[in-house]
Amino acid sequence: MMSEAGAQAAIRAYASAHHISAPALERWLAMGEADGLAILELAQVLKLRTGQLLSALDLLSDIALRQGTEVGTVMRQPELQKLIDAPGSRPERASAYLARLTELRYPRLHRMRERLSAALGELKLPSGVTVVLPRDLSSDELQIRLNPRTPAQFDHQLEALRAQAAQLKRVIAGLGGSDEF
Amino acid sequence: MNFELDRIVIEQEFRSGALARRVLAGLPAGVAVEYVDDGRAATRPDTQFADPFVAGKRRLVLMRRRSPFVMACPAGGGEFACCGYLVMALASNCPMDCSYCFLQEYVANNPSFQIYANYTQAFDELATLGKRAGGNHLRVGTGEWADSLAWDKLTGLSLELVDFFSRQRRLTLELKTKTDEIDNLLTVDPKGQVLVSWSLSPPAVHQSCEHRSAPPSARIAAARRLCEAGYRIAFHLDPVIAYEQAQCDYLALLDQLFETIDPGRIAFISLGGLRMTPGLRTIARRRFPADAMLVGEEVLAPDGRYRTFVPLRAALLSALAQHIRARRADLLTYLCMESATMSERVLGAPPARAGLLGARLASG
Repeated sequence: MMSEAGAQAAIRAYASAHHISAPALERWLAMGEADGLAILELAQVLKLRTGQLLSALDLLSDIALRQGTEVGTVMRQPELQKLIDAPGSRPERASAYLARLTELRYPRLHRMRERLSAALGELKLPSGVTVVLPRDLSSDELQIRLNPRTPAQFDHQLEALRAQAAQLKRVIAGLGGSDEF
Repeated sequence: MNFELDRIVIEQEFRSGALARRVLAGLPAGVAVEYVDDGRAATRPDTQFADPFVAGKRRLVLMRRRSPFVMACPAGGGEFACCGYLVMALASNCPMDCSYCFLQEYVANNPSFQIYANYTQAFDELATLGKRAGGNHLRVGTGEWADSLAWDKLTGLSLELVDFFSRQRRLTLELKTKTDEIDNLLTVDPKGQVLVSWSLSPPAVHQSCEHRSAPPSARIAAARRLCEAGYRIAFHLDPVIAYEQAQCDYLALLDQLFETIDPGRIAFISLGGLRMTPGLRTIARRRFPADAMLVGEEVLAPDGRYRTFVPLRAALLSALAQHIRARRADLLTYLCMESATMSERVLGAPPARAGLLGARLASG
């Protein structure tokens, strides 16, 4: 078991080697010995890049605050542990781990995006038609993009959109907070 | 409410004025008093403190305002549905300490309480404004950069304000507060020209965020007393914070409000979702690291502020608007700092143009 001073020294050494800013280091150290070391271990096991480590620090502390628990308790959740131990390259595992942290940090946003994405997935749209949800559902604008290469493709794409108008309107209403979603 | 002060700084030209006399007479023992020619230096942050913003809240400066008192609300503009509110800056900063408050960023460079001792100039500006407004009815509030009533026991300014506005026919004063500091108001007759409004949040938000403010039930009780005394009253459910139990809590709050006060006696209710600039968010989270209300599902919105993602925000605001309509269909409700589209979605109709909505809010 590492002493508190030893834990702080290990974190400081890692932070120095990875150009972690002073405010971020301060937040990291403020998490306490056990939580701080757990994050250090995560960073070493997954070889997190600096940006990834900063995201993990923010996400984990936010999740812990939202759940009224400690960072270490969040990290010990089996689903997160599994992502660390999963097969695949370290960058893939790191990416999956951060993606899951983001979902845990924004649970209702995640569920809403899944539902809206599923509704868009049901659309049978031809190639050249792209429907994009707003980033982080931060606006109510659904982006529909047509990329026709010929007049016939344009007609075809418009026709396909028209055929799916009802479903598209459902999604637009969902972006606006309709009960259905 | 009793707030703690360490020091009061008074500009020399106001030391024998009525406001200074009232303030000095009401000060608790032990508060240092200093006279200076120019109080501006005393408004600056004192960086020897770990939290200069909080340190600023312990220092009161009675000083001259060196710019106009009356201006359009800074939240008005093309991107939002505007309510035509006019702001009268009689003071700056607030003795309460709400974790989401925009003043943490807005007055970070001058966090001391400022009370502008040349406030009678505002009356001249209002008189000019009233003449220019033609037949329009205008609503002017003092609660943008300060709580309208938090210092009233000390300054007694509300008495002069009510006296001035009670003689106006086209100007309505809005005093906006999170306190129950209404003793002065109960001694004067507003003659229908003064509206007192309360920011209102459920107990969970009050406990987590609204430090040193009056509890929601005390605000509602104060509103009822002023309503009975002839004041128009209104409420701002702003910011609406979309935590897990928010809808249930806000609906219960509205029920409590309508059980205490006949909705027919409420001039209007405004709704506004939590919004924070990135700078404010950083400051707020540094100052209140344990406030779980500050780690909601806010995302960076197109207007550059962190806001609850749209479907959740729209659904929550819609539920509140529907609840209000169900109790009183003609209770005027509007959204603050939301787009016209959001306003139409939540309220079921496009927003009235600013002048028209402003006149309705002003005249009741």
